[in-house]
Amino acid sequence: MLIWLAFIMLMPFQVISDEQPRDSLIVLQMGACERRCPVYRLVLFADGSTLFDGRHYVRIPGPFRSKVSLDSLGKLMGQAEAIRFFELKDSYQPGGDCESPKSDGPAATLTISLRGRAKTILHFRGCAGREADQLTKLEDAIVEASGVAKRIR
Amino acid sequence: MAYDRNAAVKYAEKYWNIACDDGIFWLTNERISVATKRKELKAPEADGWKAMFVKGDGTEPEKAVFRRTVGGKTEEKIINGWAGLADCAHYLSRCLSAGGAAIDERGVASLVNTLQARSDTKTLCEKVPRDRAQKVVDSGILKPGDMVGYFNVSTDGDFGGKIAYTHSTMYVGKLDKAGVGGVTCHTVARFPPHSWVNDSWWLHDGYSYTLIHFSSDDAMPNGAIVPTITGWWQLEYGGGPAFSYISKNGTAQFVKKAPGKASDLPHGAIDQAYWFMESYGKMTIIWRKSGAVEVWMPMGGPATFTAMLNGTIPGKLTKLF
Repeated sequence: MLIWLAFIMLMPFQVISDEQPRDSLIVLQMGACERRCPVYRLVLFADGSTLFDGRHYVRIPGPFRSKVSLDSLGKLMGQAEAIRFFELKDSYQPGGDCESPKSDGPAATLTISLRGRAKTILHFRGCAGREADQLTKLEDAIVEASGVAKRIR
Repeated sequence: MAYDRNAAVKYAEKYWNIACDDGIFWLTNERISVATKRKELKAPEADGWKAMFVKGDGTEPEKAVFRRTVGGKTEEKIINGWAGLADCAHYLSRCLSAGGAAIDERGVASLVNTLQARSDTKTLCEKVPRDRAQKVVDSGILKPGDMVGYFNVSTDGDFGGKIAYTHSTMYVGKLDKAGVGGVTCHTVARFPPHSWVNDSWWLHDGYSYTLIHFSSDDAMPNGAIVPTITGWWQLEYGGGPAFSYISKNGTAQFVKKAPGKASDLPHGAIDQAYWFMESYGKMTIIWRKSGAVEVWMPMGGPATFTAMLNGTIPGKLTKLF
């Protein structure tokens, strides 16, 4: 029993490879905007499998499964760590922490889970500013690494 | 019948956030009958249900709903969420028709084509960048009731970066003298200052702009001045000379090669324009391809003007023939 409990407690930190803990998870949801921005959801699991669901205004709608290398997933997690994702604010939206907001743009909801930490950030992509720009780059990198860019545009 | 721009704007003010008077609105590929939807969703008009465009849920810009208020409480039945709504050209057709320009288009490209083919319109500029479009608006020639076409030029833009006309609006004028101007449209519904979007103009990078002006109520040119301006002019705006041929029919042609004599015609024009004259002789020339705006101010003598290009570059004009 004690061994089982210890296993469960350590599970979030168990690694599949040298780099990726089992609780690694990235969920990116891209919302609508007036200019008919693509609306989709993208999930990257700890084993590198991905699930894309193109909902509206994407080139190829519907679900699509693929795989990213653990190295790529590790790099994305490294990028998240580098911008101190888990310490950023919960929201970057007009009226809040948002410089020079544009009147239109999609809202990205990005959730990352890693080594027992999990955080969701709502990010209006029409916001400028250092942290907002870093989030935009991270979201773009997630899409790029997942190989779904051509299904979106 | 002359286009009644006030009637067009009045119509827009009434219908900017509700379904048009023909009882339909358009999705990308589907016509929605409000009457049919009333039956489907059990939302009879007699019970106070009104078909409206309102702010969408969450981050969605807009949705079409039946809405009513009962005892201070707002009730809603969704007709269609954001995805698929595309009623701009239909709404604009209804606005223009209310002004007497009978038009029935639901695609922006066909709406632009239909308007350009009319004898009572002038395309002031065609697919010009934002800053040039703003200069044309600032010239005062574009009037409330005129049309603005939005041509997406961004691969990150509308409908997955489709390089095409993707939106249309009707200009309703400037809210204040220093303002950039405002437009009315459907999808998303606007009539400045009434809207849940704070962008009354929708003038953005990523588009190029086509501005189409109804010309039936333009001021008649000063008959005493017109003969002095028609013919060939040499223009110098900081760079080398260029040449314009001003026609008495209200058009102008722009060429690089100097004409040899008065009877030379402007072959191979680089750009063409419409010119507009106020009663005291001020000329505004708007070049269609470039969106450049020239203003010639009369100096008192025959065929003598000071000139300004795009509001900032002074020029020298010389009448050749």
